[in-house]
Amino acid sequence: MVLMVVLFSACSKNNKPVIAFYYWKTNLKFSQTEKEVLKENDVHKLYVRYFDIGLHPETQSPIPISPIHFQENTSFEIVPVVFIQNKVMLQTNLDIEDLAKKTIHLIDEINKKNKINYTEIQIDCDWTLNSKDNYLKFIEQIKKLSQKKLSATIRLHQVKYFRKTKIPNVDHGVLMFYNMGTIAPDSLNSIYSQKISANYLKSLKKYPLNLDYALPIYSWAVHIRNNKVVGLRSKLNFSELKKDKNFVQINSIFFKARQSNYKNGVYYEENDLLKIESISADDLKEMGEDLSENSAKAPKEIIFYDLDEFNLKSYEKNIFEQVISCF
Amino acid sequence: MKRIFLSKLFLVSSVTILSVYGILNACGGGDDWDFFGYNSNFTPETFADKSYSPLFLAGDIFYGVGFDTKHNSRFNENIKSDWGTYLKGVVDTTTVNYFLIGDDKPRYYSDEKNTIKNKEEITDLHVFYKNKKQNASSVKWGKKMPLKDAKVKSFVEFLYLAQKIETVSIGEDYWSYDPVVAKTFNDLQMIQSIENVYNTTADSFLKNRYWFLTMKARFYSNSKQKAIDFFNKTESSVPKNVLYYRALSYVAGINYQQKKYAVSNYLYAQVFDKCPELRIVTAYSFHPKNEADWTKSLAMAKNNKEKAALWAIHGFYKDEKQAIEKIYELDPKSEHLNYLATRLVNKQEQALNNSFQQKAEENQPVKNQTVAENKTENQSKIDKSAFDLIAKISAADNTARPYLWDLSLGYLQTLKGDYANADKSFDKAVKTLPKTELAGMQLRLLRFVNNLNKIDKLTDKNEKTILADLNWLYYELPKTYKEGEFRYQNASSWSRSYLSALYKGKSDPVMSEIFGESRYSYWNDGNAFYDNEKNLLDIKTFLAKPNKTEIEKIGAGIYSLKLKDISNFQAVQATFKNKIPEAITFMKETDSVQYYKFLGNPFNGSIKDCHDCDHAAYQKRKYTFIDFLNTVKEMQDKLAQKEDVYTNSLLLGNAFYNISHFGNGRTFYEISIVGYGSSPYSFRDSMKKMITNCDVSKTYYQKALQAATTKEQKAKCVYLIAKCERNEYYNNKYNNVTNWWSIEDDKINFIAWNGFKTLKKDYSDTQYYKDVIAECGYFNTYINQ
Repeated sequence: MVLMVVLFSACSKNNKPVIAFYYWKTNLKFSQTEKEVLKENDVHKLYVRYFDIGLHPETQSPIPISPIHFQENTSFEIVPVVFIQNKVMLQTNLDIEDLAKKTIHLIDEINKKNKINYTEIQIDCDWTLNSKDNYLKFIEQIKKLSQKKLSATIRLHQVKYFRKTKIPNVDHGVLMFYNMGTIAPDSLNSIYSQKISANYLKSLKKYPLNLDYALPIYSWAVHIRNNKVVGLRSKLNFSELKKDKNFVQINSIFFKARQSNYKNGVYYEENDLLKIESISADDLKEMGEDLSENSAKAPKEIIFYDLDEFNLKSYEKNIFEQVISCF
Repeated sequence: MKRIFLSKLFLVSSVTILSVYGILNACGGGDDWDFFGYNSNFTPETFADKSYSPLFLAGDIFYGVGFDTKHNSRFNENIKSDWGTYLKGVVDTTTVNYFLIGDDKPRYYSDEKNTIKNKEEITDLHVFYKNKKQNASSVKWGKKMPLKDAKVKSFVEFLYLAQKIETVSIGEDYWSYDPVVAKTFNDLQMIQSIENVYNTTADSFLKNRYWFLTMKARFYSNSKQKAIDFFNKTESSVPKNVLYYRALSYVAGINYQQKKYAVSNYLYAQVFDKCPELRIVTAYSFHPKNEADWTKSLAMAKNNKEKAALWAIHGFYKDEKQAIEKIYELDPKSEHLNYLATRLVNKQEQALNNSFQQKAEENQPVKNQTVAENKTENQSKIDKSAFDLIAKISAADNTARPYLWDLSLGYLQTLKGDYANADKSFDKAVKTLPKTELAGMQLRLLRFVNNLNKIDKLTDKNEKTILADLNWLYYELPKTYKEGEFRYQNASSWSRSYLSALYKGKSDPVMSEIFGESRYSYWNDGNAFYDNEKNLLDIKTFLAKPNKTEIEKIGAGIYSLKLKDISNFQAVQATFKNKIPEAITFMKETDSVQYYKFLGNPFNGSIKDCHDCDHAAYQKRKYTFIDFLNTVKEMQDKLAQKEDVYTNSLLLGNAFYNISHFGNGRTFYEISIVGYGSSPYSFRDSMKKMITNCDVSKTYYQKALQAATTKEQKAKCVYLIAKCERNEYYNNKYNNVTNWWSIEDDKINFIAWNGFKTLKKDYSDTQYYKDVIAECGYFNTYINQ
């Protein structure tokens, strides 16, 4: 009890933002735990990945990838999120208006067939200087054609260097407060590092667009062979890994394959390494405090990435409450 | 049968990669290096059957294809030829293909009108058979094929049923949406009627096809178990053809869905083994969840061949070495060994450093390696156990393709520095080498790599051992070899670097540059070798030398720069140094370059620096580079005679301004040795300094100012001098900045340069002053402060 009090006093103010989640799986169906978390945190809004847009490997024309399937009826307010691969926006001959039309058409069709009403669209794209022009035009077109409220994800470097990267013409942005480092065989955490975030936080107050924040609750293991990253293994159960005789833990974050073996459908060669990258409850509170201190304006929403039973299991039930109390 | 649905199987979505931008870093720039041909001397196509080619070692999942490109068309040829044979003499091939495949192009919701109607016509024909009443399609097709023929009727009725199932197995449009995860075919009556035809028909061709159609229908139905039941009941009576293995992979898929991974993987391995068309699919679908699944699958194998098949598929982007060991033990003649061996060798190559540069720490300059250092580094990377395994198999000589093992061994011996034994291995390979062009070229290439590796110091004698091959690699192959398979590009670039390093060891900078030119420099920073004048003169002497040795001839031929390019560079340098007579001499040595025309008038001086405006403006006279230099010379001569000092000085100031980075004539300096680019950061420091310096121009403007007689003239000179001051300010501000991102945004766009102050103070009553206010934002801001 004493401990809890201390935690709460660390950050608590009024006008708390609301809790929302990203849903990033191709079939929407909630587990019991997921349902409970949504209910207990009084969640009304879900940001659901509808589809990606990538390039057809042969024709190089933009195509939607893995559209969402709703396997249950939801009473939530759904915000369709479309993830666009930057390579689409890098195309020099991109027909932007056509792509915007197709994108809205597909969102509409998904909503119509699943009887979903919507008022907002979110676009997620890690645009770069070279794709900037296409991306900004695409946003304009989506805005014009959809007549919906529009939001876009914003990366940290886009906040700091907004004069160069420009700001998409959206109603508000969502700062992705994760993916900060490089996925590498070193011992650093690529999902979050306070040190790296510090380089960017000061710029937040100068950013002209209203921002909500997206915080990570996912974890993964970086699969390393001969000092090279060979893949990311998501949803790896670490306590189970500790018991797995095929692996030996060599320090707090590294596991080594004792012998070649299959695990969760992945083949590990002898001496392969798994580096665990995860986000602790303390990390989340640290993020909350840092963001709160550096925000120009309090965020309306904190969106957690992503709603998944596997991710939820790593935290105490009241973690989301604790994080938003920082604002 | 319309088959245009894109397989979702192999497209990576953000769900599987968790939407990380870091993933690109994670793959180490994998996007750029997917094509392995550029760092390999070992062409897998030489050794393994075509059906394995997607499984060759690649940066992507599959070699040569980004994903399974044939998901909907894999069996098109097969189907066409089967039915073509069946209907021979009754229906012509075009018609058969029209009904079977139709249009292969993908369809979008927007171009409904252009689609062909083969499916609708089949339905019409089916109706015609049913109610015996003519309709548009029966009239149309009645003229082209005998509708009453039993075979034609069977064909139509089969397609009619097959197309019903296709409504669930094939999608029509990438941008359309189906609310269900997987469509199912639940017309049980229809399925039963298909099965009934299978049961009753006596025609073995049709029986086989209805058998498959029953399997397919059951596979897409809600009760998939019935597909397995049907298969088990009928399997023994069915010919073991492509249709059989397609059905078997349905069974494997259903088992996977039922989480019976061991059975599923066992079956996929058998399809992989027996059905080359499905190799890519089964390799992808094979997916043991854990070690137990894998051992159980192995236990299911009834004989050595089946076991070998399991190891063969397991070896695909898993552990090739282990797979080779096991298969070799079970069945040394197995065809699967070939593709695995190519992967193993290609994997060894992947680790090699062919750049002759040592990877440096961050912010450290790259260190060049000597040939010996490079060999030491690379020799340490060869996997000893892989080497031993290949050596053992090569010695035993009991595989289906002994030459594969001999060449592999020889190549690895080369990489390990054992050149004499490598020669022996290559000699041994010759005995079993097939007489194909590719095999011949592969042998020659590996022998060459071995021969060049033997050379630690170039001598007249050892040079001779490589000359013919160098000519072959650099001159013959690029001209004559048109197919894409043979991997000789790596040997071509590696041998250049190798020779360059040898010449560097001999302290021969010219020949080292000739072979080691970095002509694909990413940042386009020209060629810094020419910043040293001695180098420049030496290489000119070399290129002009008439009596070159054979290797010198080869080098001069592959060197991308010719004498005229170097003279051009000298002309540009001399011009920037204001040594015009020298510049004219060099420019005359440049062939056609001297006649290139400036895009704008290089003697104009505008208020605004806008090269596009200057290029678009009307130009009474177009100046070529040589005209330009001659005109500059004339003006300088006149100036020396004190003739029309104001005008000549002003025009000379403009001329030197325009050939700088800030002017309208950048094409004058944009040549290969200087570099190209619209930003000064695209150029190496020495060139950046040259093209951004406005001193010469400023001196002429100052001369003009001194000679000016009217206030308007003076105002103009003062302003043009201010432009030079402004450029100088930016040069100093940004010169030391190396990284575009780190430029401090201090919000200072301009300062009050002296010229601005003078212009405001002394010339505010001139027309030129007004023009400047109208056109120059900087100045306008300044006076409004």
